[in-house]
Amino acid sequence: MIGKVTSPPAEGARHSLRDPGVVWRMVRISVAWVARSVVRLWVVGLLVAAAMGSGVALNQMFQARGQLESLRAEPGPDAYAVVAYRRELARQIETMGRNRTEEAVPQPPPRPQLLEEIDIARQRNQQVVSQGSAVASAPTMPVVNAPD
Amino acid sequence: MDEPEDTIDGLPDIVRNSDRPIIIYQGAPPNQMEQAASNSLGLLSWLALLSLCLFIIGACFWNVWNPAHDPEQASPIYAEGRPIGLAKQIEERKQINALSADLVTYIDRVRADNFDRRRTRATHPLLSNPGGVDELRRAWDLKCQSVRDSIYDRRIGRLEARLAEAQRQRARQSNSLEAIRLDSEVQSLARQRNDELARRRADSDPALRCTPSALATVCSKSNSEIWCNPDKVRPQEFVEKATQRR
Repeated sequence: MIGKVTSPPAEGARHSLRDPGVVWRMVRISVAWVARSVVRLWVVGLLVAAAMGSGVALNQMFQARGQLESLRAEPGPDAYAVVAYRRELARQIETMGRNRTEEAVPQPPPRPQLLEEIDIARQRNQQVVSQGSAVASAPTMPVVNAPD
Repeated sequence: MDEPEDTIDGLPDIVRNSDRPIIIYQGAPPNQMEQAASNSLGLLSWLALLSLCLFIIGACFWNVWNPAHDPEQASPIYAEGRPIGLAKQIEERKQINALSADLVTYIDRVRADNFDRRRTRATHPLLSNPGGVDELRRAWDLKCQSVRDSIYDRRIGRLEARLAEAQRQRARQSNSLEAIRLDSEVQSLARQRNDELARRRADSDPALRCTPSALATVCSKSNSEIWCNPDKVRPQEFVEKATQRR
């Protein structure tokens, strides 16, 4: 390093503070320092916000997955099948509404096991009702007394 | 003529005569290059971290809020297919659960009423509400009848068109042999049309007989439709099945 170093006298320093060039330079340095700090803060804030955002997004996604898992606990496949059967019936009705050129009638979708059980139970209930009404009409019939 | 002042290494007077310290570096100031390189690496690291965070946010957001449906997979709720986004899957599952809630309780109550020999008052919205299975079954049967009628209409219409054509030809025909052939053809077509009308009235053609949807066959274990064996078609939809698979 080659150079000439002159120690500034105190008088010179006092003069330099009055020098507008030196003041301007100090202002410029201060403004640059503030600007640099603001930019750094902004970048760091951006990164922190992005990291927080990604954390929140991950949390939301795993919460959604957890909620879906808990919803999948119930009902079982039997009840699920009945809901799916309903959708299939609606889909077939919609398909049949379009122009058909086939020479055969459509076949209904097979019934799920649970729906068949429901159908049987309801049918039995209808029979019970018809038998019940037959029993209910019995008292109106003429009463035949046994001979003494 | 004045001699030029002796200058040190060509420093200008304004610098040499100032009160400020003069430092002359050879090459770059110490650590300046390292600092520049370090700044570039730091900037790249910041950018990489920021990109990673943004990518994670985007991926999670898309995973949850993707509005698309997969038409290849049937959905019990959405006509356009199974939703891909988690939010819509949750919505779908909530609807399925709401529709099928207490279905097993309902059948138990009907059985209990049967056992007690009384008319059941129990109903289930999935079956009896508007848009439920009962209404859809009625609509399906009506549609099937309408399809059957349109098939008969097409058949009878074709026969009648041929009959009309044969009758027109017969009216124009002067050759007696050809007239006899056309007469027999007209009679044959008329007979076919009457047979078709009779079949339609009596619903006697087994190929054109609508099976009521309530009397359809029952799903077997080998059926691969989602409404027959959903746990086989889509085991991930059922927690027990999914844990059994693991």
